[in-house]
Amino acid sequence: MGAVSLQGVSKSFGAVDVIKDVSIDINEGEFCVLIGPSGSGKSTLLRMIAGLETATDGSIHIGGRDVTELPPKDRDIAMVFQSYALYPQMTVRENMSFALRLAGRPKEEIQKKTDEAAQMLGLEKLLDRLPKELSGGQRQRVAMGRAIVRNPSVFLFDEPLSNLDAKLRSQVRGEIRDLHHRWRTTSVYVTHDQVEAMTMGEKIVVLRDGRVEQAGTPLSLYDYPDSVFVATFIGSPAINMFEAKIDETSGTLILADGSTRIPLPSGYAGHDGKNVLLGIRPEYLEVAPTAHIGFLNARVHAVETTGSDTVVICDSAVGQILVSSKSRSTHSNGEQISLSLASEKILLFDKATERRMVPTTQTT
Amino acid sequence: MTSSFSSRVAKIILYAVIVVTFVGPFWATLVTAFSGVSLKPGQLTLIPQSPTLENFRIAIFQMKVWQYLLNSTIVVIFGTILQVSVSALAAYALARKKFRGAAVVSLFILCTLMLPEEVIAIPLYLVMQKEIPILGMSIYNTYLAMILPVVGWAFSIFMLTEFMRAVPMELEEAARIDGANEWQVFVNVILPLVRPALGTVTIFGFIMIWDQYLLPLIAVNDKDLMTLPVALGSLRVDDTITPNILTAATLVAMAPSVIVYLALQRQFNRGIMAGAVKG
Ligand SMILES: Nc1ncnc2c1ncn2[C@@H]1O[C@H](COP(=O)(O)OP(=O)(O)OP(=O)(O)O)[C@@H](O)[C@H]1O
Ligand SMILES: [Mg+2]
Repeated sequence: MGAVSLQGVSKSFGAVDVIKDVSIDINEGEFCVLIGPSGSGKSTLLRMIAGLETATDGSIHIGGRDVTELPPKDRDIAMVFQSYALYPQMTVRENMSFALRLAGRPKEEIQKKTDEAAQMLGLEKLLDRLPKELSGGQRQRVAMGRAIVRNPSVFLFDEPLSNLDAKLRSQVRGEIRDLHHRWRTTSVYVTHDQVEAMTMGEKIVVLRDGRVEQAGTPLSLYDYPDSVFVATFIGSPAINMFEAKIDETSGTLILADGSTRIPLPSGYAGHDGKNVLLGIRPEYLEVAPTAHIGFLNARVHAVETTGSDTVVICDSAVGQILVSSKSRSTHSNGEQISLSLASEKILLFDKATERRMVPTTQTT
Repeated sequence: MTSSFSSRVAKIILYAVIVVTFVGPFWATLVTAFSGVSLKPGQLTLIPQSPTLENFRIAIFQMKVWQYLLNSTIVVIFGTILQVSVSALAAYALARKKFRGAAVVSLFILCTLMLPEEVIAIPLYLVMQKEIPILGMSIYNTYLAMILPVVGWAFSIFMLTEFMRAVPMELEEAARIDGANEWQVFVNVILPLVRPALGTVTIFGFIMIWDQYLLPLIAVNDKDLMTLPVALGSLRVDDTITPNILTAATLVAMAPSVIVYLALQRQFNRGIMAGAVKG
């Protein structure tokens, strides 16, 4: 079985450096999600693990074996492509059994393994169809079946759900998770959808411009983002960010409008006068029960609700603010309100470096 | 009313001229070959009368057309198989592999399309005369001399290259991850997906080789090795052979192309159309 380890891996296409000195350790059996904006190098990194791209520098180990120079077929991996890449001229059965047939396995074994995988994915009735006779969701399943049949030591997924509609996506998401719980095969999963990352990942690696911005568990990234980039990238609705200045004499943060003050959380001594970015997630803000008792006055711009969650979008002197809650909003557009916040949930970032300032009281 | 009437008449006349121009010669050939009427050299008949198969019997057995047919068949079968195989392999390399000098190779292949065969006839003749070192013989006056020069054909190489370029890269990558080596990718993924194009280049290659005239003319001088087109040429200047027999022999020579076209027609049309859509 396979732990995956990347050490100082780089990749250049000609003069363009796409992956820059990336080191990641994925434990055996772990479900690791690579996330980042478009063009950040997620697919390239995954293809390097697969052996479809060679590393310009650094080394790649799978299951303790140095595979840096090995072709894909010797790496014991299976991959699910975004486009599924099913062989159009082969039936579902032939698609799923292709790898086993190439490996020259006995007929009965091929038959048995294909049938098992088909049953697990609910494809039994479709085995004799061609890919063009399947729906998008069914094709996606066949692509997964093709990977499962081989029982590899690592699964690689490149945005496998991006061609499915929302409902199917969350269903298949659950199925992939269940499969992983059952088999515990090391998996590397590329997505740019942070909901997928949060719900599926045991470890999330955030990529930015070919570098690892931060790696960790979903909740550690959510609660303690290292940078403004990670803070804004993870979480939906997005985190609120305000410019502010630390004023130690009054023990407050002064927002950009010059008058609004918020009590400075503890642990930030010695930064008097520093310009910072104040991050606060929408669920840690509240519409105060009566006007003018919160820290900031605002006007309701719009209310979005999914039924279970409500987001109030407000205009204020320091810009647009999102407030989310589980309870339904009674506010109407244009109404004057006041906001209060849970000050212990405030995240402060150095405005110059955009890195998070770790309070002295925090141990993590 | 009158204008539409006169334009209709004009149309009919135009169509009639076109039909007579294109179908006329073929009709004359067909009728003459099946007719027992004796004609002078250079004459053909347009009116079907006294039908007979005698002309074919004489052409095939007395004039030894069966022998030339056999020669043509040998050349065309081996020639087409080799031509399509070589084209497919060359196209795979050009379409899917990055190698030093790929552009130059393409250019050289393209150049072969630019030279008329009359220009290379004499150099080719000289090359064929050369003794091959170890074997101690030349290919001149053998089947090989008629087959080898047609094996590399730029048209089919380029046609297959374009089709192979259109096969999504991810399919090839999926196959590599599934454990396929170079050859298995080629046979299991690329070839099945360019089947329509393979059908097209097989038909075109077949007809191209079947219709070769200059090459077999200079490549062999043994009468027993002559292909049909060359033999027909020499029969034409023979005064003892009537037009009836000559046209019968011509029809025999045309038959295989028609049969192959009809047999592979489905593939052929798909190939042509797919090419048109992909531009
Ligand atoms: N074969 C290539 N040649 C040159 N540049 C490439 C090649 N493949 C990728 N790139 C570049 O590498 C960068 C990263 O590409 P990659 O496909 O890994 O991004 P990604 O994070 O997967 O983006 P997306 O979310 O859009 O799929 C891009 O800027 C892209 O233009
Ligand atoms: Mg990508």
